[in-house]
Amino acid sequence: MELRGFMHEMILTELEDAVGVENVSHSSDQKLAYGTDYFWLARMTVDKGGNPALPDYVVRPGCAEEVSKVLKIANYYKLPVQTWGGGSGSQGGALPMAGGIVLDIKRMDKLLDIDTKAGTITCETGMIFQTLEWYANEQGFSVMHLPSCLTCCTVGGALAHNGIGILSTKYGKIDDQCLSVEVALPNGDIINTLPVPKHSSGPNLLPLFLGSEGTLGIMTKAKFKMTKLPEVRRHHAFLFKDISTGYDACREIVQTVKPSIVRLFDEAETVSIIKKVIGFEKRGSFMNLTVEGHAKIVAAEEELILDICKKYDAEYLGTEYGEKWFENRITFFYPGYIMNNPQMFGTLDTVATYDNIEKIYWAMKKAVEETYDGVRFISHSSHWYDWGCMNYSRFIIDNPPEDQEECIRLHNRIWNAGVRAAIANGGVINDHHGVGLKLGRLMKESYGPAMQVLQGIKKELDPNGIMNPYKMGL
Amino acid sequence: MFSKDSARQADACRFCWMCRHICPVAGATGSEAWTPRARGLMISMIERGTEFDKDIAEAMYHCTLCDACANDCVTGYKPSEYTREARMRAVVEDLAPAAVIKMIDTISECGNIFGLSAMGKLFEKAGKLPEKAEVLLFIGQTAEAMRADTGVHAISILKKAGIDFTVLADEPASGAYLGELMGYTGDVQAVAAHTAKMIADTGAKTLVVLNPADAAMFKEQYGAWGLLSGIEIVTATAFIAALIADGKLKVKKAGIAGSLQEPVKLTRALDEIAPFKAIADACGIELTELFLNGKMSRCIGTVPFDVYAPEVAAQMVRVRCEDAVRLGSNLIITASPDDFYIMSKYATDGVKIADIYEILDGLC
Amino acid sequence: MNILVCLKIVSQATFTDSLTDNDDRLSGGKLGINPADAYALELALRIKDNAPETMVTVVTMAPSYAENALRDAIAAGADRAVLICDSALAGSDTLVTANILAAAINRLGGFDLVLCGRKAIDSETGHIAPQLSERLGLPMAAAVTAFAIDGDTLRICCTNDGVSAEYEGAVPAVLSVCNGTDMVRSPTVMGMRRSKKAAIERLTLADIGISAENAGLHGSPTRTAAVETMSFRKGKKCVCTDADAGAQALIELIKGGKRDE
Repeated sequence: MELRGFMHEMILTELEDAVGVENVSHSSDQKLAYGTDYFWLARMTVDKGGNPALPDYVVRPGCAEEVSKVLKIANYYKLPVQTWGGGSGSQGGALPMAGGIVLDIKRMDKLLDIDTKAGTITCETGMIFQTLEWYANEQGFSVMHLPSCLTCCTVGGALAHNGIGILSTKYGKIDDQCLSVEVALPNGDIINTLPVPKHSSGPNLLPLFLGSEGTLGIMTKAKFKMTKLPEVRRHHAFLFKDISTGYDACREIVQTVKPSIVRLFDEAETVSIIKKVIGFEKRGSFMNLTVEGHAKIVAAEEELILDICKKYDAEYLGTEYGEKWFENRITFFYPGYIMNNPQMFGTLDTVATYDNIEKIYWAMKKAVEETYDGVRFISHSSHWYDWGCMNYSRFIIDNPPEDQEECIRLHNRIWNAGVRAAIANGGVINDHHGVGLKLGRLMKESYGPAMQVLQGIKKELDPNGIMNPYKMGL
Repeated sequence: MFSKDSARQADACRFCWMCRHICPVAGATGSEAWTPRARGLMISMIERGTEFDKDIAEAMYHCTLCDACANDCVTGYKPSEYTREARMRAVVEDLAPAAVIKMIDTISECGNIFGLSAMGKLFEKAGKLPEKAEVLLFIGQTAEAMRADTGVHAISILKKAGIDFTVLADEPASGAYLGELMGYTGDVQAVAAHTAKMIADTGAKTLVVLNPADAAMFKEQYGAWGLLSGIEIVTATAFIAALIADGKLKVKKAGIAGSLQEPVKLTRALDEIAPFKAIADACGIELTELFLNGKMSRCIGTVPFDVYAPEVAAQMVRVRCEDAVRLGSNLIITASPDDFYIMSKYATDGVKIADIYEILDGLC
Repeated sequence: MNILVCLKIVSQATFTDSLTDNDDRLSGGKLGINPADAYALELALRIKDNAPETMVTVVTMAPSYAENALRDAIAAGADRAVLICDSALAGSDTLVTANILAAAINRLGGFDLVLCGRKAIDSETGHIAPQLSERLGLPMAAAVTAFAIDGDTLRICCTNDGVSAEYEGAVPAVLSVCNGTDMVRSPTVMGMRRSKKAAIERLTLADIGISAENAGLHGSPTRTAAVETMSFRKGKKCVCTDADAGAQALIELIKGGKRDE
């Protein structure tokens, strides 16, 4: 699709007509802001003075109706539409790799309803998640979704990649917390999923859109359940002699009671990051855990937890380390604490049933460490279910190759190795960061023949293929 | 192009968004380019070969330098520092927005940001004051020119407390606004040196500053330049709170309920939170604490910002009014002539804006 | 009148910053002109304010990042800026630095006054001015707080321990200037516009005729052994009546690294 002469300006006029002149831009400052998200390859590009992928138009609708208008225009001109919330995604899912339109949802940030009796809160998806949480706090409630990107991500972004928060072990992942959404389909129609997430009224539409990463439509409103702020919240820490023992103990804990946080760290991470931020000096497999809720119930849960840990010969480290971890949980992500360019780093996260997860940890570790001499691998498991848990493994290379192309090749090789090792042992492409641009190429081999279901839906909803091209393997 | 310090801070901020939720301009507009991190990204790209153009300069000016971001940063980075330096470079390179250049020219021609030749209306309303005194009350441009009443009330309050004070008949600018527009250049320093001399020449031992923006300028920047040493600099809120505590002011209790718009220059730049609350308490105001208060007080714009980005200032004020209404409050009380001026312009229907000095003056 | 001001570019990290921190947190602090040197430049510029034909040159021995600071000096009013920059200079101690500066000053030539800030806030040795005066063969006044040129006479005010004394001398001379409390001018917008186009002259070791063996860590008779946070404890006293024995005992103490004997 070619644009010649002043066609660009004609399209600009139509977009301005849809959302207002002040809300469409193609100035350099506006475009540059969308060239980089949290994806390492995008960061590397600007760090080395390279040219990031930039949109042709930055469009900022103020409501679902305006989103609908923009999508109709985009379909007519076959312009790609990349939806941008906070841009804090690590998988490159929001990057305007196909040019065209970046549709920034952050003007749609109104609080629509808060019902303290029903325990629900409804908002437009462009709201920063922290703001939603603050509004719930004002009424003595919490959405209980506390990801590390809480202060930077939008509600829409969190939904679009099926995000997770640190309290998920008790309160669930975002797809457990979201009750319904309003979606602008690629053809501009505005639809709603059913008012409740659990029913027997046909296949559930809600999980189709949650985690669809902007490829099937744009979520414009969302309703969440809220929980009363807990009466007590207590933190504890333990040291296991090794990660195997840790896995066994934690599995038993989450199959017995419902802590809100369980984080089990491998030896490498125990030694490095934990030591740096909390000042913890011992060797072994560190675990911190949080229980919360009614005081009576929490006391009972704690008793059971301490018994289980004793059974596995854990050293009880008291409440101080656990409290310090909770206090500093966001500190990890600030500059100076978190890895930064020129280091190459990434988080391979996956999830599996208990019979597979430890196998996956060792397989990923081996696969990644074999890819490159001088790669560090640190791991922890931080979100637990009755049936299994996830694994969060980071690789860090302090001195990656200088050459951009070589860097990209090495980066992709490590991801291929790690993710394939996970899939081969019963894991999946990703637990809670999404697929995005980074891992789209692995979707077909992961889904096998099931991929046609996703492709069929994509074809039907987005026949022109304008919704976030090159992402999520679709 | 940038100093090593700015380049280093920009490199730290460019891939981090942790302070996005607290930026008042980003929050009010939903903009991506008008965030501390986007500015850091732009500067880091300029250092690696991207052209610093007029569009990027626009983004550098869509910030109120309120330091909510710096207050949030666990590591201690301060995006306002590289933003200020970027403005300096923009002015030097002739890239600053036309409205900003116009304001700088106005200041150099008239000595004030409003382009007014006659700034002396205050004294017609305030009455006679002595030539010299121990205490000098610094009113500031906004109170003098646009909301003369704030200055009038402050004068009235000090008179009622029996304080021996005066004001400068021909009060010069502190340089705070010029510094906001072009960073702390030698030009701003020249304004400051002149103002410091005029203040020192009065022989006053204590400088009571009505406008928090001026107070922050005097305490921090004048101090860094070695100006006004030997003179005690106090904010008007702290001074008056002390007068109440010492019993020099007898205050009746009003039967009103409201919320406080705490000036960000007081709470963040000067670490001052208690005095404004103490004054409100003495006035018997039933307080509903606003969302984002104290050190996290949400900025509603600055006077220069309102001149070159009035739509954004209006949005920021509307957001603040929403904060009050959501908690059932429909009165917002200010302690800064700038805040009073800007909020009064754009307050949404159903929300009243009141000035603490006016309230206090009516109760003592 | 031709005035040269020696500048050192220093980090303004405070003593609470970690010295051994390797990550990119706030270790390092702001880079800028050493305050006493900036004050010396200010005094030189005040001479120029009253006598515009005065030439003020600034020189620094530093890596490339010093260019920004030199441009700031030009923007403040300096006429000429020279950067002595050579990778072989890394690790130079004060003696080597003084040698390098002297060689550069001799090459540039014709100065009536050479000004240095008395001490740098990072190393605080105060060595450069006296060493420079030796190397240049010029008289030196220390702890200068003010000076004036009166025809052929140089009038100097020196302040030590709160006591001021006035001296008369002649140019050329080296002045070691104390940091003062007067305002130091910041660059103006006009000044910055002018400084953008200004050329920063660069000198390498080859340009000033000094070989690499006599420069850098290799050529320095002293080197930094360690950088630590100091803690003080009471200890034994060492009393010697014999100067040689005392000196020897001191050397043993320093070499042994013990501080509480």
